[in-house]
Amino acid sequence: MFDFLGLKKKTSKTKIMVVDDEPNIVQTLRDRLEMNEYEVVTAGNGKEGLERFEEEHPDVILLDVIMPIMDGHEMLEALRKRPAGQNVSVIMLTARSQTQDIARANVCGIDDYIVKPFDLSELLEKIESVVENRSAVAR
Amino acid sequence: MVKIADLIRGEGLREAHGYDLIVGPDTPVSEALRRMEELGCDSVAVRGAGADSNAVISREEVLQGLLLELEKAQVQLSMLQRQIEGSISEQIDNMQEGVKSLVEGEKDKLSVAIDNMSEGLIILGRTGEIERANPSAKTLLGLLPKDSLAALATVIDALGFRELIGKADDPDEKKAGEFKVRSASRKILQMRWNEMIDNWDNCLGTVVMIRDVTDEDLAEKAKTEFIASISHELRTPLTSIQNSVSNILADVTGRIPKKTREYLHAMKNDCHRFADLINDLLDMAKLEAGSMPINRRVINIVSVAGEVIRRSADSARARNIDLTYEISGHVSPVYADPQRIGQVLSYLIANAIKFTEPQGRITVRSYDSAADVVTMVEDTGVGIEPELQKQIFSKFVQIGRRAGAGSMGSGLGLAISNGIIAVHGGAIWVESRKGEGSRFYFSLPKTDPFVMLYRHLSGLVARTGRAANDFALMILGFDVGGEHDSSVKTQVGSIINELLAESDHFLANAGSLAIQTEDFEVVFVVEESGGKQIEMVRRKIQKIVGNRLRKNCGRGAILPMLGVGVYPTDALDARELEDIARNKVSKLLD
Repeated sequence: MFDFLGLKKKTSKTKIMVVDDEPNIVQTLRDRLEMNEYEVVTAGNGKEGLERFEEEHPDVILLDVIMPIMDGHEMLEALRKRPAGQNVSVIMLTARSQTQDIARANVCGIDDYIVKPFDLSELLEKIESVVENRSAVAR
Repeated sequence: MVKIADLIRGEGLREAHGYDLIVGPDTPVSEALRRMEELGCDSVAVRGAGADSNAVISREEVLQGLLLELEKAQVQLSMLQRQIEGSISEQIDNMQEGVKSLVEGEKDKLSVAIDNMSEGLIILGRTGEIERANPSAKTLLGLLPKDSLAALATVIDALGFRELIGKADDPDEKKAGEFKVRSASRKILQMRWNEMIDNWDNCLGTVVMIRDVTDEDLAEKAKTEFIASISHELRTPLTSIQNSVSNILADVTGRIPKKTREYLHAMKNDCHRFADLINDLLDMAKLEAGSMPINRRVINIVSVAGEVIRRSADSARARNIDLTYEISGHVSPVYADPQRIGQVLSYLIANAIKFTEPQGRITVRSYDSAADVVTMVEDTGVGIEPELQKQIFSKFVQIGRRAGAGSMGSGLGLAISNGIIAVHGGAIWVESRKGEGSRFYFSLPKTDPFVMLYRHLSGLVARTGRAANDFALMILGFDVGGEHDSSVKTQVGSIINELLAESDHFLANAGSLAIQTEDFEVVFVVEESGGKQIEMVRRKIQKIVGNRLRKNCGRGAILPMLGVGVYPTDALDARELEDIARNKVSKLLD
């Protein structure tokens, strides 16, 4: 909405990691993101997410909260303790009005959150603005 | 009674004269005297007083007899008095005795009742000492019924009990309260206390009722957990369906026929409706369980409302309804959950849209009242009948069906709004006339902006563990002193309102805040990350102000503000602005 820096054009493909335990949701997200010229990697829980993070170095992580083995909060906390994990942008996918979720995630630093069930176009807008902010800060 | 016969003595009797009044020996002296007065006689002769002669008694003698009678009467009177007094005091004694035994009986009954209650009961005296405690109170608190009050005092002091029995804010109100403590035996105890006030407004002490709510608490917790898990379970498949539909519509699977597109749009809309229904039901359940999470922070209602209006604009336009937001004067900040307040306003606007005919008008207005910030949603819709107005804030009351406007929704919107506003300490109400439209109002208590700023900053410090200096502050001030006419002030006021309305967008970080501190001044708190944020915010503010100026006043328009700063410093350096803001904040908080 505020393209004040005129950064809409993407120079290279932004890499997004989707961490969610619901295969259907992961699939629909992957399809849509890829159609929008993003590179997509996926993980089924927090533990897998941390492993994939080290291999792939994504720019943005879409992170579900409730997952088996390791949930979104635990992954975020672990991620922020790593040097490489400090600067990655995180958008939380949370159940509605779980404000404690957001408050807890905010302590570790998240860039944005979206409430399930969400509108994909709304999510795309959020991703876009997070990516814009990254470029602005990088400059 | 003294009779004439009593006055006759053996000697001194003389012969009766012819003109003497003759009375019988049984005649009372008072009667004799009365007749002597009548007839003007000086003496009376007594018939048959002696064996053969009549006794004559002088007037003086009769008078003496009367005196004697009076004396006698006096003696009698005082005897009578004593008798009466005696009997009265005896009666009173009897009565007292009766009342006493009655009271004792009741007291015994009450005592037995108190001692046999399953709830614990403790009576504290005026100074907080325990005056009485029933066996249940002792056992609930982990003691034996025979344990002393002193032992109980130790236990309740360890629980911080007497501190928890606080003082109500309003001195006119009878003080009462409720709190929960966990006992040494891991029981959750609910304490309800009430001050005992007699008929003359004297406080006699405090009565505390103790109930073991461990099981209820567990059930409550289970309910809350169930709500959370069901909400996850319901939303996950819905998200997946919604995403799939959205992807097909976005041609992820290739081009789709027109008819399929129509079906998918309907599916998408129904997904939204379904999600709204789930959310409403869950919110209502949470409000009822008292587990609705309320994330209060310092917010400006103008920015929350601005966002909601933007989101509602499409559906208003679709029905050809004119939806506008007006801000009257300075709107004070409030301490509230922006998401929840936004939710309330969304319900009100959605209702207004639903019940207003095309070409109608919906006006949302925020303004300060003496103690509150009020937001009003006014429509030119169908209106609500008086008897319905009383019910609409309760559960499942749908104005829709009865108003004949069809029904879309759970019928929970206003009940949830009512609950949300109540948790915020505000009020919600409606004014409406059938056929002329409705006005829904909600109010939130006003708070001093600098106190809010302080609260916000200390909240940030507590939450993040960072020092207050880690948060950048920026001040935006407009000098609209006396030489400027009122149109300039209006212009500046509307620019400030626009900035506040947009602030949620450009202050992306959770800890950031825009707060209007004076009529023409806004302080921005920016959660900093690497010193870049404040500069970015400054540029955005400049851009918004610049655009607005050009739009309203044409190219080259100059307002009494130069750059973003305090006139006339033209402070373009963010650090400089921060110094000014910090000075101002600390000065005003001192």
